[in-house]
Amino acid sequence: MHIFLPIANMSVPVALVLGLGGSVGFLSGLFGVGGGFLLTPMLMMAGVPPAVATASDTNQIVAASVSGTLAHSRNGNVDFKLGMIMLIGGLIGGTFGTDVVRHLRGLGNFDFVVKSAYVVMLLFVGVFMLQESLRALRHRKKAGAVEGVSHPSGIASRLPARVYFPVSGIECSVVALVGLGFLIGILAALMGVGGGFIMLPVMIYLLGIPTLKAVGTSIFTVVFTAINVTMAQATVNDTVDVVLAVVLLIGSSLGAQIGAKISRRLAGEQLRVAFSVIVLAVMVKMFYQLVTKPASLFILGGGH
Amino acid sequence: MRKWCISIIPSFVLLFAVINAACAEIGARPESVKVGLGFSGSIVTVTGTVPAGSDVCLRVISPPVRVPLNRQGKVAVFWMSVQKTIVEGVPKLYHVYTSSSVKDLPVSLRKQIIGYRDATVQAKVTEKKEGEEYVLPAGEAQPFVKSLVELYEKKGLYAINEGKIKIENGRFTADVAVPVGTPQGRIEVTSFFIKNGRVVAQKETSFDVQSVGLVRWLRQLSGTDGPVYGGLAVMIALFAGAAVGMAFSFIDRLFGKGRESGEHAHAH
Repeated sequence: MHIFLPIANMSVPVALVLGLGGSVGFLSGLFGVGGGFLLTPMLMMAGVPPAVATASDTNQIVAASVSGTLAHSRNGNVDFKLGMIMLIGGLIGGTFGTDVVRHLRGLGNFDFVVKSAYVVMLLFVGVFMLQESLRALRHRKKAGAVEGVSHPSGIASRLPARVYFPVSGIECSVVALVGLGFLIGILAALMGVGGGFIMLPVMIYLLGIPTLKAVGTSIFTVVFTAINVTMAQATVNDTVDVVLAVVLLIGSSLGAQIGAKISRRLAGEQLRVAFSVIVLAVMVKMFYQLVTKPASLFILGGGH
Repeated sequence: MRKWCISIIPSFVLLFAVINAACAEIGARPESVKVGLGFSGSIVTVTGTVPAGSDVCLRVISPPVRVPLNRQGKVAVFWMSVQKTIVEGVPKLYHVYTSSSVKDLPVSLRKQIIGYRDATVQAKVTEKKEGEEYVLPAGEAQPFVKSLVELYEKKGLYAINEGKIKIENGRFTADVAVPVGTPQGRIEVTSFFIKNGRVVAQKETSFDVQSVGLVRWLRQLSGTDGPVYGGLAVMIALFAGAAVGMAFSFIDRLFGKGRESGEHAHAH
């Protein structure tokens, strides 16, 4: 059975879109990321124009992250107080980032800049997470299964305006949280993603938030970042395909619930190892695309 | 008398051609193709009368569309867009149907069709560079136009269908494909009737491609009121996400109760 996508102006098998949404939603619930960095390339491989894939993907992230937030909040994993503070920075960063995008587009090869930034960032995040989680797994085997309370490290621990967050069980600088939110807001506007895959390691390793709380809280903030980007894409580029987003979100909302359930049964370190492997795999794929000759030297333009 | 005969022969030839042309009629059914949520391509049947002993060639063509097209190039070790252009004046749909082989068509008609020449004759390629726009000369524009045609061909929007017109009892029938991606608007169908290596008559008809229902409403809203469309998209996503979340919460409670009562029963 096929469905016609009004904005993409193409017909796609419903089962394919449901399957893509379901698998990415599963990862979203499992790791607390929006999944945009995975779903957009998959949609493009299915023939959806890049601009429509990016914008519609962000739209479905709204649903997946709402569904994931509800699931994580039931498990007590969402630190709303901490998340709201990060959101303040996120909204300012998102608005600033939109202007940065407009400026970069005027300068020239924006697509390549974004893809390169993705590769570098995914490499950094993936390697860092893999190292840390493997080290933690080895320590856990030696010292037993006790997960100690983490504290902010490095510059995050020296910043002023420290506030205690009972849900996460940490004391952290409001400045650090607003700063992180601001950075995520800029990246979300630049890359058209929720930003969870960058936010998560920063929350865990730099701010010392326990893994599951970081997962729940990051997915909560992704809801708002994705709403912001969806509105901007619909207003500026007319590229949000609601029909595509709805079919994707049916799959992804169900997948997110299942992912969140499974995440409860897994240790934080196992989650981090699996996540870092996925991040590195996506990085390798994107790098390969940048250095291999495309099948056709001429491509239809538009989008990121 | 001889002079009179000589002068009347061309008049008869002309009259014969006019009668032939009058005999050739053409129509398309349905007259309108509706693009709704279930649309995955359609067929329009074009029929008509054929002048005695003639072959038929149909040309199906959509209005031209404006398309951004980028050329990829290697910079250091990376492949990236090195030239950004806008291609205009090229129709997005161009199909040809014939009752015989293309090589049997008159040379002038064959020249138009081979390589989709008459589809690209109005093409204009504008390069966008450092905020400036300038039209590429024909030589530089040609690879862009050729690639666009190849892209359309891969999507089934451009095709030459030899021997796909049936002629029976003085009437012809062709099943004209309307693939996904056909632009909205009026699709022009021109029939050429060929006899003894010459086009003896030509007739035109057309059909509409129009979006309907939800597809039409969403396209209009997206094009005319982006913020409202974006708000709608967000509301749908929020509602769907929350609905699934609540549904799973309900299932959780249901299973939780089930487990509790099961454990309770076990204890007894």
